[in-house]
Amino acid sequence: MKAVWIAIILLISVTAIVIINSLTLERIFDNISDSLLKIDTTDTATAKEEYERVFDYFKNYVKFISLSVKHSELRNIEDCFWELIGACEADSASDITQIKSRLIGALSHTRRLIGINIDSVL
Amino acid sequence: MASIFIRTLLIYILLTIVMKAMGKREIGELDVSELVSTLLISEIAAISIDDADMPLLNAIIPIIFILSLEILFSFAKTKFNLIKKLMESKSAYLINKGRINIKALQNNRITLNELISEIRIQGYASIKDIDYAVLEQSGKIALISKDEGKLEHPVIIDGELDENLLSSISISKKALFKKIDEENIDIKDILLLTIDDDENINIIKRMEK
Repeated sequence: MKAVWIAIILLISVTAIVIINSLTLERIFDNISDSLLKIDTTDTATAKEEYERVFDYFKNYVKFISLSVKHSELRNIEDCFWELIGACEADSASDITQIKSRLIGALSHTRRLIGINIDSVL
Repeated sequence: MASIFIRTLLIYILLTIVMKAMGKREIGELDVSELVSTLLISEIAAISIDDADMPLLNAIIPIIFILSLEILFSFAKTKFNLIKKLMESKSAYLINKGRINIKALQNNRITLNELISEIRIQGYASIKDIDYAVLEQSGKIALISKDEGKLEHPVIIDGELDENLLSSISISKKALFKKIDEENIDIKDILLLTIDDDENINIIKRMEK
């Protein structure tokens, strides 16, 4: 009977961890995507500061995210951030647009995988 | 390399605890859910050691999840007869009182050659020597020879009458209940009732709480 109680506690704990982890990660990725979409790229100097601010926000959570997201996907997102900041420094509007789209795509892909939805299950 | 070393160590410790919690059983003795759990856990462990890109938590969480499901499922099998009936395979009489039960062989996908081979492996020269061949829940075939005495058939286990087993032995349901009545005991109070070919019954009562 003791084993059954331990199993119940483990099952509840594991389920709670999975749900909390998924919801928290979804919120973090939503915040990052929303912030990125709001940034105006006409002034690249200001945009660079804004992107760096969003990148810092991402880095604050990177340890938590890496607990359940594949490291290659995290590296891909980080690379996109570095490229985006680099493109702002180079004042290349077309590169900024292209890399920003890639970054938002990578974020949405990762968010879809970690979220509680039928897509990620199938 | 260092990370793989540490990951392997962590997975090894976790699996040792998990396997200990699941109980000591040989592979051949595992029931379906235990076999599925063992296969899944070993596969998840292997992937997590091999793929350094995968977070360790992605292996730990499913392993703990499978372990807790397995323990709860095993407990449910002892408490709920429906789950027990769905999940547990029943023993089958392949040879019953010296007669080969072709239907039981077909139902369990055992050929006559396999049965004869099993009889030889267990040291019997002829199928004529065998009174009973029982395919046990573990998948092993138990052979009872004609010299070994009478086989006791467990027709009531934990207050539940095994009608299939009862139909394969000589005693009728009515006669069995008459014998139970003579003992002045309710069927729900019977932990185990066995009956041999001479219709001698042996009752073990459930212990008082």
